[in-house]
Amino acid sequence: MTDMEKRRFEDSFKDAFNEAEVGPSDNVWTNIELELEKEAGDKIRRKLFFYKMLAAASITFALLVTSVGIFVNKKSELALQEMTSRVSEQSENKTNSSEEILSAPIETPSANRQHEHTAGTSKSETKQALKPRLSERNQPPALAIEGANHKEVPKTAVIIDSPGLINGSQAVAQNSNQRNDQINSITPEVTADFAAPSNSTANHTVRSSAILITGNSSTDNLLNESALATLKYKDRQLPHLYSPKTPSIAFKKPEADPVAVMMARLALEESVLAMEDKKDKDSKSEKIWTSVGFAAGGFNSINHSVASPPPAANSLVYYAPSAATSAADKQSKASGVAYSMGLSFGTKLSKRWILQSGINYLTQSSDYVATNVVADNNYSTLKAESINSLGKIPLLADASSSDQKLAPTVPYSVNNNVKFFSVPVQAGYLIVNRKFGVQLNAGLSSDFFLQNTITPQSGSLDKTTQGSGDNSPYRSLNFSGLMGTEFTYRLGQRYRIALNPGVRYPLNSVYKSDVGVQSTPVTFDVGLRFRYIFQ
Amino acid sequence: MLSEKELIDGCCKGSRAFQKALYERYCRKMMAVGLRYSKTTGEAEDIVQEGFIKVFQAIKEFRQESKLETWITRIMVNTALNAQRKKLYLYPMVDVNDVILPDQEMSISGMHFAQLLEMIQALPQGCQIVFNLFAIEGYSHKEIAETLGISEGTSKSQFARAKTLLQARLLKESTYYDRYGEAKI
Repeated sequence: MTDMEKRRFEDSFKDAFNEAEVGPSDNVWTNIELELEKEAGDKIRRKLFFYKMLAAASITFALLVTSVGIFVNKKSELALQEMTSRVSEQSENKTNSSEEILSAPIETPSANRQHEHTAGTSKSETKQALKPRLSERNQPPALAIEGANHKEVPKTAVIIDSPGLINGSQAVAQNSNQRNDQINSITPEVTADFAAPSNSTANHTVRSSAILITGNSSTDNLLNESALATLKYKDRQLPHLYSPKTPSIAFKKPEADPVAVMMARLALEESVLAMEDKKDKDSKSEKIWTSVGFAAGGFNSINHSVASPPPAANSLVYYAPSAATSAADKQSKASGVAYSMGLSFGTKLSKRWILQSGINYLTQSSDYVATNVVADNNYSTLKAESINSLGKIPLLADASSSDQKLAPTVPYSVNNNVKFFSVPVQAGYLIVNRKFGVQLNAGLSSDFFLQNTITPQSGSLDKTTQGSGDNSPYRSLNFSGLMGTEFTYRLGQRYRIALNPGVRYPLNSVYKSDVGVQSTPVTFDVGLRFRYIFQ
Repeated sequence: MLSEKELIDGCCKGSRAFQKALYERYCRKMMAVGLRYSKTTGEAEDIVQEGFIKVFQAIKEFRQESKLETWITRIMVNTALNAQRKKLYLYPMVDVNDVILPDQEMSISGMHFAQLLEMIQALPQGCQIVFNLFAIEGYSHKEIAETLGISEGTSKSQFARAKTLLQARLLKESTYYDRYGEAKI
């Protein structure tokens, strides 16, 4: 057998099947469609899960940021308070010690000698050495200045606090001049530096005087001039006459100069105020705004119940508690997707607080499986069973007197769509109010029921709608609590884009109490808003 | 009638209407493919169902370098092979040494494909797959060996056995027709 002959056999089969066609059953497409729907549902569920996680994460983040902000704020306040109290304490202590120490110069020459002797020792030793005598003598502060030790610079704060003493410092200098007429030829600054008595305490008086002089000048330069005075004092070669007898004394920079601290605080407060002014100026331009937005998410009915047997409605007797409540139970507990779109307005009540309101159109869609159909007597119309028919339609076997009956059938899927018109009112707190903003929102929403549409997935059943009113199982007005965060980003002067994950918690069941069904679907959604700022 | 490109674009967008249109255009041919690789209609429908789902999932990746029908057929064949792999694992193919090919080739001309289909479905599992791949899909024995994870020799021997069985069946059918004078379908 040749290869050609061999191949002819295969080719004949190939040709025979080339145009072969066999029709599959209708079930194949139905199953394909179901699989595709399921896949699409899984995708939506995955997206919803993502949105839920995003909402939860952002709320957690916002709460964390708030907590950290409050903690840091309190900590800084405490630190400031502590610093203030420490500074005032230091001032008080040093004032006391200055008063004590500086009273030494007016002592008898022997006492001066004692002071000079102790100047070479430590400050504490000096204080200790002088204390007993100081306690015995109660010298006026003006006189105490004369004995101002270089280490006791903070005492100038005390001097500044006492205007009389500021003048008195000049008086001290004058006193010094009176006692040291030969120094009159020195320049005023030098005079200030050297207008001292012919002992070490006079030098200290000069130091105080220098600070006081600079204290009378502009406060902005106080610190620098103070430092300059110290530098001058340190660098200048003192005449032998006025040089300390103990050259080993090191004049250290004061550890906590109250003037410096005060000026630093003033500068800090000034810069903070300037920043706040700038922020106020910026934020004032963002006083009123409007926004359009869209939100998508999912809802879960966390509190759902069906009374068994449900109370009869109208005059019809309820015959099918188990069958109908089964569908009602499935419908009331079904979770699904929620979408909303709307227009909102916002205004800033204060620097941090805002108020927002608006109008929204909400739709919640879920699927449940029904095992009965609502049929008329002739079976000309078939509708899906739902809570809308609960308590009104008897079972098939007992339906002789009714226009409609509930007939069992194979399980089929039903889509339940509920629409609301919502008016939310929310208060917001701006955690971060810059180009990037973070705010926490909480409020209340009035949800007006619009329509419920029951759409059976089976093509042979009719779609039904249920509006509001006395015959409707739905409450016309519902209230929901709202909570969420809003992350915003400013785009130019007039626009902000906002991402706001949030939770909507119904405060009442969407069904009337006499229906015997309770359902409170909690919605997690993430919205995207585009804000226009009026200026 | 929608063009191939329109169908592909519609399916890429996830339009159910376009998906159904594509399904309706090719489902009959694909059912024939499924039947060649299966023993029953139910199995074939499962292959078609799974195959079309894969088609809709992967249609965005279709680069239109070949005809859409060819691409879908390839997906169906792969789906069928995946479905048969478990069976092949249970009933592994082995070399068939004692194959005696008939001297004379039997002709299938004039036979309806339904008869041929029935003959193919009656083949043993391994022979059926190898015959389909070699004779109808046009795979080489090397490609079949790689696809099914068997040796090239096994593929050849399985095909030879399939051919023998088919020819024997054809001979039988031919004798039947000759004897009873029934017209060929």
